[in-house]
Amino acid sequence: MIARLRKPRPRIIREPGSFRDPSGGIFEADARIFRFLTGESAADFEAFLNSGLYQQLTASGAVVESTRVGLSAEPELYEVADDTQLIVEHPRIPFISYPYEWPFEMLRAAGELQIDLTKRAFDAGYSVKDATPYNVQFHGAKPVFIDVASFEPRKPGTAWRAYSQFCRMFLNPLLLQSATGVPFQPWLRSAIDGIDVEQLGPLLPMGRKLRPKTFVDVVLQSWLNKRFGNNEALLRKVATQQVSDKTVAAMIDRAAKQLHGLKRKGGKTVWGDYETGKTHYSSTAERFKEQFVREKLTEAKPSVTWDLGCNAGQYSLIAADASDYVIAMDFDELAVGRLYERIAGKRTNILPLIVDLTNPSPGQGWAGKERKALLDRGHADWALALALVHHLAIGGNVPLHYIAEWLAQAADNVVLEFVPKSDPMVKRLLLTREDVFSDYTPLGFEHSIAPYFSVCERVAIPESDRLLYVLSRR
Amino acid sequence: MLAYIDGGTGGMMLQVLLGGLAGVALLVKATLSGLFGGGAKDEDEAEPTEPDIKPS
Repeated sequence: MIARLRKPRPRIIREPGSFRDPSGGIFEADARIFRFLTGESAADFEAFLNSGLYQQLTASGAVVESTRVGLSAEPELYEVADDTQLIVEHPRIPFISYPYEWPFEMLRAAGELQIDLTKRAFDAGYSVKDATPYNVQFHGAKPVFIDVASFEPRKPGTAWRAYSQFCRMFLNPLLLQSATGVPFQPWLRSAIDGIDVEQLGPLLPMGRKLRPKTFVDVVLQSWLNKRFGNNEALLRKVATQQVSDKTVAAMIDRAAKQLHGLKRKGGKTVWGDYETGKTHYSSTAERFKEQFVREKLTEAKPSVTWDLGCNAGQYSLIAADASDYVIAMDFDELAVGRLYERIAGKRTNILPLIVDLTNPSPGQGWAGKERKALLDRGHADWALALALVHHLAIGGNVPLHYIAEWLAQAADNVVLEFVPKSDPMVKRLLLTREDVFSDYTPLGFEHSIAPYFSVCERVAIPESDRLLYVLSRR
Repeated sequence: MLAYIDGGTGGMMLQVLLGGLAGVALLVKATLSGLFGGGAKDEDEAEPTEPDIKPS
C-alpha cells in the first residue's frame, strides 16, 4: 500500500551530448531538463546564480534560466552521478538544432551572443570557459545560451583560453563563407570541433589574408601553432605567463569586431530568389493554396508543424499563425538565411533550418550519439510538403513509397501538394534527364502512400494541374 | 575551476604577444634557442632535445 502512494521513480536519461565539461552534465527526467554539478564546481555555479550578472543575462533572455531543485524535494535526481552537489532545472528548448543546420546569419548571431556574453562576463569578473555554438540554441529566431555552467569566476592574469575555439567554431567557418562564398555547413557537419586555422589559411585569397584582423587570427595564429607547437619549454612559460586585463579585453573586442564585420558573400542560388521570381503560379492558384493551408492548420491547431521544403518561409509564416511552433526546413542555405533575416528579433515560434531531406543530419560525434539525427530530435503533429515530392522523386530519384514511409516517421498529418509531370516545374526537371519515373502520377502517388496514410481530402488547385492532399497517418 | 578546453599554442601565444614587450622577448628567445639548438643560457637543460620538429 505504501509503495503505491509513492511517486514513481523518474527515469533519468543522461544527455549524450554533454560530457566534455567534467564539472557536470545534462539529463532528462519525466520530459523535464536538468543540469547536475559535481564537486567544487557546484560552489562556483551557486555563486554565479547569486550574481547580478546571472540576473541580468537571464532577464534579457540571453541565458536560459536555472531553477534550483533541492535535495529534499527530489532526492532521486541526485543519484544521477557520483558527488552531485547541485541540480537545477532548465526550461525545455522546443527543438535542438546544430550549427551545420544554420545559415550564415544564424551562426553569426550565435557568435555575437557568445562574444557578448564573454565580454559581459569579463566586465563582471567572470570568464566563459568555452566558445562553441553547441552551447547556443535557437528558440525560434532568438539565440539563447544554454550552457550556464560555462561561467566561472575569472582568475586574474589568465588569458582568454576559449579564443582558439571561438576561431574554430565561429570565426573560421564564417570567414570561409564570407571570403570564398563556399558554405561552411557541409564542413562543420563532419568536423564537429570546427575548422582549424591551418586548414582555412590556404583557402583564403591573399588579399583577405593580408587584412590586419584576418592576418592575426589566421596567418599569425597558424604560424605560431606550427612554429612553437612542439616547443615544450616555451609552452610551459606561455601557460603560466600573466596576461593583463587590458590585453584580454582587447582580444575579446578584436574578435567581436571581426565577427560583426563578416558579411555573406553575394551570389544567388535557385531558391533564394524563388519566391520573388515565381512565374509558375497564377495569383488565383497562389491565393487558393494559401487559404487551404491556413484553413487546415487553423482547424487542427498543431503543437508542432514542420514545413518541409520551406524556401524563404511563405507558408511557414502562415503555419506559425496556427501552430505553437514551426520548424522550417529547406536544403537551400540562402533561402533559409533569408527566412531567418525576415523573422530575426520578431518571431520566436519559427525555427529555420538547413535540411536536405535526401540526406538529413545523422547521429554523430562520440559513439554516434553526441549530436542527434534529425528524427531523433522531434516529431511533427503536422507537416507541410508543398511542391516537395517532385524534387525528392525526380530530382533525387527517391522512390515514392520511400518518401511516404519517411513522411510517416516524421509527421502524423500532412498537407501535401503534388505537382504532376504536366507542370512547368517538373518539365524543367525532366529537361536534362530521361523520364524513368513511370509511377510518378497522382494515381501512382496515392498507391504509394496508401500503406502509411489515409487521404482525408484531395482538391485540385485552380488554374494549374497541381493537387492538394490532406493525409492522416494510419 | 575546470578549464577543460585546450587554449591552443597560437591562441595563448597571441595574447602573450599582444601583452607587450615581455611576450615578444619570450618569443624571440624561444626562436633563437630553436635556431641554435638550445644555446639560450637560461633554458632548462633538458629542453634542447625537444626542438621544433615541424619546419616553419
